[in-house]
Amino acid sequence: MKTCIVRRGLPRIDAVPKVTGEARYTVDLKMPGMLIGKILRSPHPHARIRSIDVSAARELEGVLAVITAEDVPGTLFAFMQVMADKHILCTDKVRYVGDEVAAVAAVDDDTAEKAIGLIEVDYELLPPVLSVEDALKPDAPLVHEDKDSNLGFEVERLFGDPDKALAEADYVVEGTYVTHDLAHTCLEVSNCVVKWDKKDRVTVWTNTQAPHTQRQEVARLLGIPRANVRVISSYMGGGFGSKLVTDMKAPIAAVLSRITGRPVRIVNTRSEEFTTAKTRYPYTIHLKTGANKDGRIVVRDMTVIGDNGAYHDKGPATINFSAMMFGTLYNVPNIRAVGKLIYTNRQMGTAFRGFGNPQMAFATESQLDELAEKMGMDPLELRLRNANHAMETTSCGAEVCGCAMTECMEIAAERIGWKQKRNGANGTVLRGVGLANMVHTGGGGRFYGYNSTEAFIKLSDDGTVTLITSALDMGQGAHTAMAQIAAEELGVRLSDVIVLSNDTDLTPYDLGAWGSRATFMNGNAVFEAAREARLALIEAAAEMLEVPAADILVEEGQISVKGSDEKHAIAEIVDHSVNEHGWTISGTGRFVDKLPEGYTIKSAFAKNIPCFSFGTQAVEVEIDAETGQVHVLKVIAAHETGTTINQVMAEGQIEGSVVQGIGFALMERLISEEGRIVNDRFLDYKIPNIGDIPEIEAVCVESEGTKGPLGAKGIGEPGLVPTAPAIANAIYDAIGVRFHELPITREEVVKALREKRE
Amino acid sequence: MEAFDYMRPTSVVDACAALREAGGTARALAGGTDILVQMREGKLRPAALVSLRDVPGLRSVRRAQDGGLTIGAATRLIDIETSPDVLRDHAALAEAASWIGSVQVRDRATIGGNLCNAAPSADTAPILIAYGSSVTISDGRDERTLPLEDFFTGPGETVLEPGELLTAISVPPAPARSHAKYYKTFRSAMDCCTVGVAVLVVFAPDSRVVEDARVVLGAIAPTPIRAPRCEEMLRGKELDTALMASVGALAAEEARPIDDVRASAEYRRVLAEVLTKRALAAADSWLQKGAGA
Repeated sequence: MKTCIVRRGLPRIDAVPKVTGEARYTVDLKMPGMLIGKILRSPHPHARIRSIDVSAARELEGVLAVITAEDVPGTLFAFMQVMADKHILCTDKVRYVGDEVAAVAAVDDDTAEKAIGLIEVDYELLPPVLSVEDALKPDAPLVHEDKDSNLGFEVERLFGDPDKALAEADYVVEGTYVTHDLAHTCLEVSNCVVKWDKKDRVTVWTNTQAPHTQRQEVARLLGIPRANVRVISSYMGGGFGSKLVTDMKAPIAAVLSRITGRPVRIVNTRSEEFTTAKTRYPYTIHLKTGANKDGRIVVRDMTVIGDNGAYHDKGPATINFSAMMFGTLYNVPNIRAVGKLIYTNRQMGTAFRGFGNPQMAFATESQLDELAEKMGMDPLELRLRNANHAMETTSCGAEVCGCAMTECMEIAAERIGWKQKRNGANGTVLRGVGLANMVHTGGGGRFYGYNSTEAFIKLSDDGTVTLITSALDMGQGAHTAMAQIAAEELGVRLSDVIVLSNDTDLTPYDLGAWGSRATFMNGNAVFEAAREARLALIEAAAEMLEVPAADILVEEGQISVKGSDEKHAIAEIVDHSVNEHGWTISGTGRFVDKLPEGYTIKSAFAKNIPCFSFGTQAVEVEIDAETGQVHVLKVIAAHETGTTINQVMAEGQIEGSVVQGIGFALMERLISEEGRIVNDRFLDYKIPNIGDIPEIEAVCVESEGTKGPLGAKGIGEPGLVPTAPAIANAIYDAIGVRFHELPITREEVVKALREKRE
Repeated sequence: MEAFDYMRPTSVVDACAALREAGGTARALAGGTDILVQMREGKLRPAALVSLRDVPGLRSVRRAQDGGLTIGAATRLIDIETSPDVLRDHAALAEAASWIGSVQVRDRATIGGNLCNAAPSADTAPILIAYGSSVTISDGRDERTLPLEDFFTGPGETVLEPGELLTAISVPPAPARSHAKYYKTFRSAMDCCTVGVAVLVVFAPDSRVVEDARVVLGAIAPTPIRAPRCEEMLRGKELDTALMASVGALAAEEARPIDDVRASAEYRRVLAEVLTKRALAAADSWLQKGAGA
């Protein structure tokens, strides 16, 4: 494919404002008359509220409003309304340390803080359930007393006959894998400014990944029409899934603004971000895999127990998605996937880059190495024999379109030195290599029962191209990708395109930036808009220059006629069109990801995914056998991109994901004592930093056959999925110890090595 | 953050006076990399901050004829890390300074601040104690000097009285045929240490026999501590692998670690053993290579 703008590593369009500090994020927003809101949060994991006394706080000078549950709408809320279980402010009970109890609005930060300290709450402490095991005991206290048990959600999917297959398989391995509580650690903490104006319109400035669904959620919470809510986002300092579902800051700030008549700002402290901004769902995965002597995997059977936390958020969707990826990674004829979500008195989980898939991949790809060992087969060979191929449909209904799985494996293995380095040398410094595969969506999903979006392009009389899209840029570079797609199809330079986005009054309805969706979905709509604008431009140029439309060329923002050196600026054509006909040139693009025949939300399972993206990571580690320190020396991350829209940004997405994957595998963990998180700051919540990050070779593997714009697939999440199992497999290669639980810390390595010696 | 007074005296005398007047909760402010973070977290609520920015004479490294160092308390870590005077005979101190925080942090943080903050994990303390350093404390009129190992009284606590200021650190000349090394382990790069161990070994002339030794353990007790039994075991013996292993094991015994969010006590003992052994091995390998010649 010949391209001019895409497939190049062009600098991102927001590079200069971001590097110079000119870019203003929502957290930088200040408004005349703006008040500071703060939330009083529960200090207990589980307690009944006997009474709240706000009188002292109300009397403090500089305090303009103090609210409790009595002052806010009594809506019960959850991401899926049928599972609603959370109030804006707690009514009778608090269910985790951080639950919202009361709120204040004051003239400044210190006054608001002081007022929070003056609110007195009389709690009756209740026994908390702090683990999934405790929550499942028959006499366990109930997190929600209106429910029969702490089981929040359950699902089972069956393909083929797994019981029969397990009984007949030549080899079966079985194991339990445990993953942990993780924070998203966005640089920009979750925050909002809300203004309830005199026309009863509520404007929410916030750093959200999904302005349109947040608009619906805020309206639902406040019990007002959607039309009365406007959501505006800005430059954004990261999302990673934590900013998909609204939290209670926006409705609380809205009520405080209605009472005071002034805009109210609420910003998480870093501690609040660690303790209330939600986490990756911790999974306990019971897994069985069976294979025959010929190396074919014939059955996989898993039960996932997810820790839901105190309230529903993205848990059911996460569990379902995990099961879909579990069923799709290899084409296994017999599959059983059971998922359960358990309420505990813990911070809620939510979406987190990979959406349940990193947890799942840790289990499945670790176990595949265990299976290979049992079979006496090279783990790479086992994977190659079971690889998916283009245009196949798997047993669970996944339509694998373009697929570069085998190619990704070959690239990763070759570049890490698989043959030379496996079962490497011994000493006090031990080295090993490992690899793992992944599959993920490369284009969001049809989980809402639809998957579609729109985009608009207008050509101004000066020739500038304005692109109106809902593609949300949270730092991943979506705006640049959209501008590149528009410029490519329209025939203009990247610098000619202005992107307008992120105001729900302006942009078309859209589901938001999640599921590696923006490039595929928004990109397709942008492509269609650009094509329509291009056709209109060519038609006008043909008329003006009096030549057939087929002879008109649009390149680098200029119009020329085949066989002639004469060039015309786009502005001339637009000017002609305005003067001649009174209209400017524009384009509308709509992309509807067509649902497969017979689609229903309930039955669709893997048919929910419009486009799959495969990849392989190979890792070399070095282990200090005395201190247990695991050094990741090198990561080869070969991922399918379809067509790479921006080489540098795609590599950046993969590298950033791998870094988070290393954190997931080796160091990141929220540590709780009696339900309280004790490492609520970066001093003790360790993420990999520049000194820990190894050489990462991101390889964008292009493939054909997807319906993405110019053949592109999403690349936002895949890079995080296989990192942890690849590291765990490399550690096994180095020291012969198999870790079934994350994170694999120094202490665990030392302990395991000691046990192995004994 | 609660309101506080801010003062910027121009002499040690005025700084001490300001600290005394503001009472017990006043704090001297140098780089602010610990104090300001703790104030933001509400863990420290000083009535006053006394900035040392305009106090002359606190920001220098001087090397005397005999090779000893006098380091002004407000000398930035980055200046210690890169000072030719420090690097000449006290390279292990420069290295320890280089492992604190990021370049940006070291560009502000000072050696006096690292000591006065009195974190059990302070990276400059073990190596300074291993070198036999002392500190000079002024109350504006008189000065007193005491060994650094007697400066710390508990986590975040020192012998400083209200109105007193740490003004200088004196590091004796490195003995002939001596080797010093500080090792730390961390959970991620730029982390505070999980355990830090500094070891100074003085070899007898023309032999592998240890004439004198100091073993100092950090982040393993309420303050940085000497390990006297380790030192005793080393003295007068030939430094071989067996001795290194025995001293390492003894270091684990002498440690008084706690379980916390950073590591278990048990793991800290493992680290004390490993790092002590490695610091001794570094001394041995330095000797084998010709004792720095």
